Amino acid sequence: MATIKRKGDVIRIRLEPEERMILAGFAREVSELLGGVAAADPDPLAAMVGMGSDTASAPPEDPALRRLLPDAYDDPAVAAEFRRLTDDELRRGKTSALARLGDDVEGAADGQLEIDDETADVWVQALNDVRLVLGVRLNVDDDYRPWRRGIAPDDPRKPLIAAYDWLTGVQEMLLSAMRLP
Amino acid sequence: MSAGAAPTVERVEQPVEDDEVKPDRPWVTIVWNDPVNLMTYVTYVFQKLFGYPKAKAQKLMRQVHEEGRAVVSSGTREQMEHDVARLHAHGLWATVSQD
Repeated sequence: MATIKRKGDVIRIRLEPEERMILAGFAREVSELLGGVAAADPDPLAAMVGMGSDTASAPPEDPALRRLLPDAYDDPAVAAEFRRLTDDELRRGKTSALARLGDDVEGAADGQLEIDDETADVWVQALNDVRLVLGVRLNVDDDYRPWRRGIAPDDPRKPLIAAYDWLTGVQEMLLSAMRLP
Repeated sequence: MSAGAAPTVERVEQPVEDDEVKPDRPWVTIVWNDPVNLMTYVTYVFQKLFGYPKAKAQKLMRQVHEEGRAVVSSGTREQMEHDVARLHAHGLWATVSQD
């Protein structure tokens, strides 16, 4: 089981091989869902003028993606305009954080990591986005705990539920080890 | 500003208690409750983004949790759009609204 502890200026993390695989795997999947491979932009000129290749203004159809990229206004027309201006940067920031988490975890061959608070801040956001996506996929609501207790042992959602609970635990441990950057 | 004030008197603006939504700054940022975000995480984000002390961040977090929403900042429309963009970057569900 993962351990996350503060040691002076750094946070020490120990992950089992399967845990690293799960963490990196979900980080990549959510990054792909957001349509980004990494922070690298294939068109530097477009990036310079703040113009994304994706100038979507309609909210995403996938409810998980819509949760990651929510409307900023109740009024759909105003929300669309805001989205048109900000969608690309928001996706870029999220995919960059997810890539960082995935790379850091995969890079720690022995499962031992030491991260500073700035890195932990990036991680905790990426972890949160993974949990948001899984939460939507599992229809998590305020009655999650009683619902989970009633899940049959052979329910096909069981592995995803276990992953969600594990990620919740990791995020909690990280938060309690973190200081405001 | 009320009409009819003596023109020679200069009114010194007093800082308004920061818990209150300022009536002359009608735009607000609202954070909505959601079942996935951890209470500790939401508190952390409020502290980090707005520089609120832990007690205030926790109070706002509880308000979101119990009442379904809370006004977390107020100011110009541009400032609120900036706040909402940062909250979205952190995975919180937030909207800009005119108070």
